[in-house]
Amino acid sequence: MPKDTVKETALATTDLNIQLPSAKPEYQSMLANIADKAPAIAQASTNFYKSHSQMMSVTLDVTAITPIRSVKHSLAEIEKTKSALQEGYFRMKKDEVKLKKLERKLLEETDDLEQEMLEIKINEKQANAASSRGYVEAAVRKLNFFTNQYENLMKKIGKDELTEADYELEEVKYHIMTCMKQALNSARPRNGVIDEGNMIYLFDLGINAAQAQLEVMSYLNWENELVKEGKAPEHHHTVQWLEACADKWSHCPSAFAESRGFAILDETSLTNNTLIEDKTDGS
Amino acid sequence: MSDKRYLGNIITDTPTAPAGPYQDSAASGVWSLAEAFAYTKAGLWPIAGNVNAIALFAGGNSASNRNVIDSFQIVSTGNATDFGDLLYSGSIGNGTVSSSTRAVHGGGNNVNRGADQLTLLQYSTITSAGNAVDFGDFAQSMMSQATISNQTRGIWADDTLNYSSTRIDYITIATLGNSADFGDSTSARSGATGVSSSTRGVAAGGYNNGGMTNIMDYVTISTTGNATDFGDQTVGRYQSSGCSSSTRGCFMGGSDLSSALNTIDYITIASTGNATDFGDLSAANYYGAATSSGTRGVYAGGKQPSAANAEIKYITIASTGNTSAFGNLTIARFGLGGSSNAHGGLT
Repeated sequence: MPKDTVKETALATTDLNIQLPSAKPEYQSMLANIADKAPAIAQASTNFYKSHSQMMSVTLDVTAITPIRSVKHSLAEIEKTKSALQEGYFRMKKDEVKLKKLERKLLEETDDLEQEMLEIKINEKQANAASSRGYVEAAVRKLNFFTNQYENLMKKIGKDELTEADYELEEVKYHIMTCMKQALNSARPRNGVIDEGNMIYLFDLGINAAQAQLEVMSYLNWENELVKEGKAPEHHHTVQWLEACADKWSHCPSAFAESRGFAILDETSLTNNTLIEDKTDGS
Repeated sequence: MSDKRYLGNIITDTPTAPAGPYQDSAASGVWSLAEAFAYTKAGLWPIAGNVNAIALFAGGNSASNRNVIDSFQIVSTGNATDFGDLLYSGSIGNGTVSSSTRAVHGGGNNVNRGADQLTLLQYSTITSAGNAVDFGDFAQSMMSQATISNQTRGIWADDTLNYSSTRIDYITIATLGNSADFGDSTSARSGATGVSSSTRGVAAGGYNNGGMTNIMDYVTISTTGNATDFGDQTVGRYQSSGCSSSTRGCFMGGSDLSSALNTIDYITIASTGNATDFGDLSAANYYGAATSSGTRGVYAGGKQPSAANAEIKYITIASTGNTSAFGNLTIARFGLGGSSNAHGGLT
């Protein structure tokens, strides 16, 4: 196409202007439509800078079945978000300085082509800065969300502060409930039979797999009977059953550990344990 | 019971035994339950889900990029044969996921295309030899990732090009299309190794700004939630290779940056405990690839310690022990991707 017939059409968005060489009228109408909608789209996009919704964070991300494990997992999410926030913040500040340098350079530049190139680079940096700011703001919202969730969990536990002993004491319950949750889920599509992986998990916890199999079959039969009566089994029924399993076999991990010469809990090796006397001074 | 054979509508007195125990083995005719039971006991009755486990090892590098895809049957031992070619002229560090029918080779770095880091997803139909076909694209380039898959989904995590990123991508293997965002790893790292059961994928090890890490985290494949802490490997390393049965994941070889390692350790995927020593590779090796039949794990290629090698080795996943010799790839190379139609995520 001869150079003098090329028309440039500006695409104005909130972030940058794109000069699209096109003489075709359909592109002009498309670009006008995009320019018209761009501010609203940019505003809507800010809702989605975070990868996960709040709902997803507390159901599919933090899946720990017991409260102290949930605290641990939530704290891990807080730490991870803090790191991402820190990294994003410093990247954003560096980009701001780079942008200022480019703007200073543009003022000093006399060559017209170099000026044009600097303007493009400035536009590029401005677009990147807007995106970085969006992610940093989303990270702040996520951090605040998990900070509030931490508070909610502590209320549920009924404590102002957790000790390492609290964490250790809940571990037996957590692992039995997690193993039986997995065992039940594996059994549903396998005619009630627990899969081999969870059989191994049960063995390592000191729980007889045949007993666990019997509990799973009994629970599934109970659900079937409920359905036959025209009633619906609920999720909380499963949670109650898991808690009953944890109670029933709570002695198993320590018994198995002791049979192998281990003590499942050594209180002298815990930090901030207010329940025990400090014996590290040799007294 | 009649002793007549109904074979393709032709009645015959002489039964023709099924061609094999696999789900696609021919067993023409009409059979009584007693006959089916007898052949099942003899291991000759075609059973749904029982596939002739085939391994594919694709791409890699040795002096130049290789586009070759090798294949072999995992139940036998022997050399690999040429299966077909990857698109373009090959890629180093592609990561392969697979269902029982399809292997999808993702990403990599194609030096022959001018240091082009690939966003490309391409697939092979595992039981029919031929060149790879375009599948879709990653949102951004990926290389040397931890790969996780079951019959439905393929997942890539913790790749080398984005080592400060916690990004995880996934595809639906049966459809063709671009990858989608899955969730985040617990820790940003590169060159991690993946193993799968049908429900859970575990990514282990890798390299981050602080050096080698031995952390492991896992995802539930059917959700797109973030990864959760699993336990630790016996030694921090990257570019090891993973294979699994439905219950156990093994991590083979790798590098701690200063040297190649011969370590093999394993985890029970359903639990979240630390890894345990399994045995040793026959020689220190890293940047190879591994896959499995569900019972047998095979490890191919890699650097030993600096030159590319062609060796294929195997382990029996349910036991613990050192590797045994299996055969050779058609070309010595490292940075290849391994997959099969019967790995731990499918059994």
